[in-house]
Amino acid sequence: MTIFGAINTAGSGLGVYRTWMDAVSDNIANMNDAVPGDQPAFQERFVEAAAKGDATGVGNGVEVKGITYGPTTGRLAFDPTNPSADAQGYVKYPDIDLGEQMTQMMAAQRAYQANLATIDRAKDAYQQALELGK
Amino acid sequence: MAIGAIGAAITTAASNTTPVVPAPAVTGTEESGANFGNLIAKALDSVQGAQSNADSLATKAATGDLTDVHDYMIASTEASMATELTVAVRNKAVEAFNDIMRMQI
Repeated sequence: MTIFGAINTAGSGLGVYRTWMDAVSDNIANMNDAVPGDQPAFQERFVEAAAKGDATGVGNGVEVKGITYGPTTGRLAFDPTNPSADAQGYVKYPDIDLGEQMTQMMAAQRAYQANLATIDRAKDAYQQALELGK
Repeated sequence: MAIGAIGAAITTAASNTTPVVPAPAVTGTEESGANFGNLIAKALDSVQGAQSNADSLATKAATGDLTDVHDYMIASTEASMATELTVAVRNKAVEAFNDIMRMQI
């Protein structure tokens, strides 16, 4: 931990939640991708977050450990007029639920705001410490 | 992180100047003067580092290479707060010097 430890820790949280919002917006953007029924559907993106440890044991924030992908099975729909339809007339859509994605988006946005509030408080505390000598 | 050096420098300076007080006057002033000079030099170096970091992120913001808006805001906040800390230390030092200069002999 350094003197701006709290600010940098909250900053790492901002990075992770921004990545989460990116992943959710990608999921929403690709929600209606139609592929032929025998091909893999668009896979939902999940952001994996993990704690960053440090020597003091206080911790050093969070980082994106990796991105995992949902199943390729999707859901089949019979739509022979669709240009992407296979020989049997089936297309496949990703198995992404908009309601769930919007909930995740709200969670990511609120968590981003919470980290911003942490930075604000830490900055206020440092500035008040500087007032001590005046 | 570069900014951490300020905190370290202050701790070092505090531990260096404390034992100097009971020491003989002439060597004492020389040592603490050199240590305070080192402290200021180190602090200015880390402030310079924080400011150049903020500057490079500002350039990235202008050229469109900035990936995270909060990265720049955090860097500029740290640079401004490190500067405030240096100014506070300088003001205290000047104040102490003036107090001694005003002392009646």
